[in-house]
Amino acid sequence: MYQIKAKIIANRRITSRYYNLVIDAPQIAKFAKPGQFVNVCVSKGNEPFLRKPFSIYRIGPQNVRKKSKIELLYKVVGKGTDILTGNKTGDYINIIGPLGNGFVLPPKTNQKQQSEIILIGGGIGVVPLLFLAECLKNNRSLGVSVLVGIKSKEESFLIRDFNKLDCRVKVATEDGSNGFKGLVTKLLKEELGFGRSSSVCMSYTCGPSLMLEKVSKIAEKNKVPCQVCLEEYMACGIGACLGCAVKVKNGHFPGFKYVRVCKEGPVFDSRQVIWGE
Amino acid sequence: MNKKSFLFTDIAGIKMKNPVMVASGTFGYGEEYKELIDLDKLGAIVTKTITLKPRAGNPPPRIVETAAGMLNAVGLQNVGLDVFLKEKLPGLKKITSTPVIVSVGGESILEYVKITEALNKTGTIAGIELNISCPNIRFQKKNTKLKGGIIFSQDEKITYKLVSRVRKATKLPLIVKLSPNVTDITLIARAAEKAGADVLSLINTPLGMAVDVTTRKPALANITGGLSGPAIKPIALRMVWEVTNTVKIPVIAMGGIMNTTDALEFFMVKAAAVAVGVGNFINPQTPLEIVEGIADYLKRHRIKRLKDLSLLKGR
Repeated sequence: MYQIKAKIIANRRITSRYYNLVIDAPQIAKFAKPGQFVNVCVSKGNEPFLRKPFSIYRIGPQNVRKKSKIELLYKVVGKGTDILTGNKTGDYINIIGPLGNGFVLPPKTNQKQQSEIILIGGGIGVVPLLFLAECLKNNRSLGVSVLVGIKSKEESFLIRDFNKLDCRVKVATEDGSNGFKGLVTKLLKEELGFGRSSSVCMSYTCGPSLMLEKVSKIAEKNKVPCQVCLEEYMACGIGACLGCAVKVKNGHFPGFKYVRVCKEGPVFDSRQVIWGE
Repeated sequence: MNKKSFLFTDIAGIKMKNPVMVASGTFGYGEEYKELIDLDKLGAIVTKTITLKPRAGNPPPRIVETAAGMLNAVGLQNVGLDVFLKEKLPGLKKITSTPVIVSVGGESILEYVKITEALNKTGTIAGIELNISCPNIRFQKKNTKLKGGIIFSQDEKITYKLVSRVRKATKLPLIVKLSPNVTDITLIARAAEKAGADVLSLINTPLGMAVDVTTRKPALANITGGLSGPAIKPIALRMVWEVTNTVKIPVIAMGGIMNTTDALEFFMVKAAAVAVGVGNFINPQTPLEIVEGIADYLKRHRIKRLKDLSLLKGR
């Protein structure tokens, strides 16, 4: 965990609402794992007051062993992200990271055994999954399928980098303007139906909480382990403020306890999470 | 001798290398920050409030950002006394020599006394801070229709009784943390002083509320929460000024301290020390930057000791 004043390499506008931020942060890039995040001080004043957490999209540069840059992909949703768009190449930004526990990679299987991994992302929730997909593709001989749910074809750039990784990608759009018309959870049901789930050894998901809940239920029903990457309001990001609590099973209170999304998470085994409370 | 030894501060026997502490509830059990700052450079660490039994805390959402601040309703989630004594306190003592002050909370006077008695035996803590002002925990007073009860330190008599009982139970330096959710804080401050408090700390968070207009629901699951950050600094400053002009015991000031200037304001109204709260969330370096900043200020203005840093007469 480092707090650094990092130089901005690029802050590119992708569409009117999505930006790609590349930061020179060798310490963070060296230790970052997929699913981890950085807590960014977006404002120099008091508005917005708190740092803003962002999942790491990937580390770079590609094809170089010593990674020194981290890349974020963010959607402009409020004051904080709006201010962030104003940052220019060469500006400095104060970030803390890498934070939280990342995804647990599946155990290494022997080459002959066919095993599949499914990633399910909703909108901007694809961010940590791209970093994950890169790691899965680089290090292992696994089949990686990516199911992405987006609003419409305007957000299709969110799947571009998965295509480049040679993953099997399927898209669901709410308006049917690209791929399947409907929700990504429907795609997942199809994907795991007809006994096909037996070859899937792990699923990973990130997106809106209702989607995560549905994905968890489908995965559990089909006996596929599922790791969910959660989001919650957060202040410190380092486990001190206890603001980002999520209810999980097997506590002493009784039957539940609150754990910190920033510290024990943001990635949890889906079976641990008590949804909607 | 440390080059900043002129910042050495002794508050009721709590010996600190500088007068900049970190406030309870914003610094976990200390170890959360060990990778980000040098804990040895802090004046003192005040732990997250400990209760007799572990507390689950409130359901989320527990925090919400507001103008120049944030509301929280964490609900005193903590590991409880046993785990604190077995794991958290020894863990913190292992990584730093900075004085550790333990914040104590409870739902009854007896609970405060029991925890205090257990803390007496540790031999490793520098003092006790009684959190009798958490806005998210309520004391059910008899014959009152007030739903959910009151905050201990909203009542002079309860404050006096609680502090007296704890005073009898310990020789450790005793700090009493006061709530700003009162009509006249000097009355409560006097009651705590009379009951034997060595030090007062203020302010805890003023109660606030926020509504999410999209969902048309309170932003916090607990509906109300404690407000902190720069938004409350003027309130804190006014209250510290009132209290230091009322009691003889030292006052530790907190409430929206984000930088050296903020801290200096509190010293100028006769605070003996300051504590950084949510400032730690925004920039974990804040307390250490303030230590440097105060030292620079004193040097630049040729002031020998912090004590000489008071308001000037006239307008």
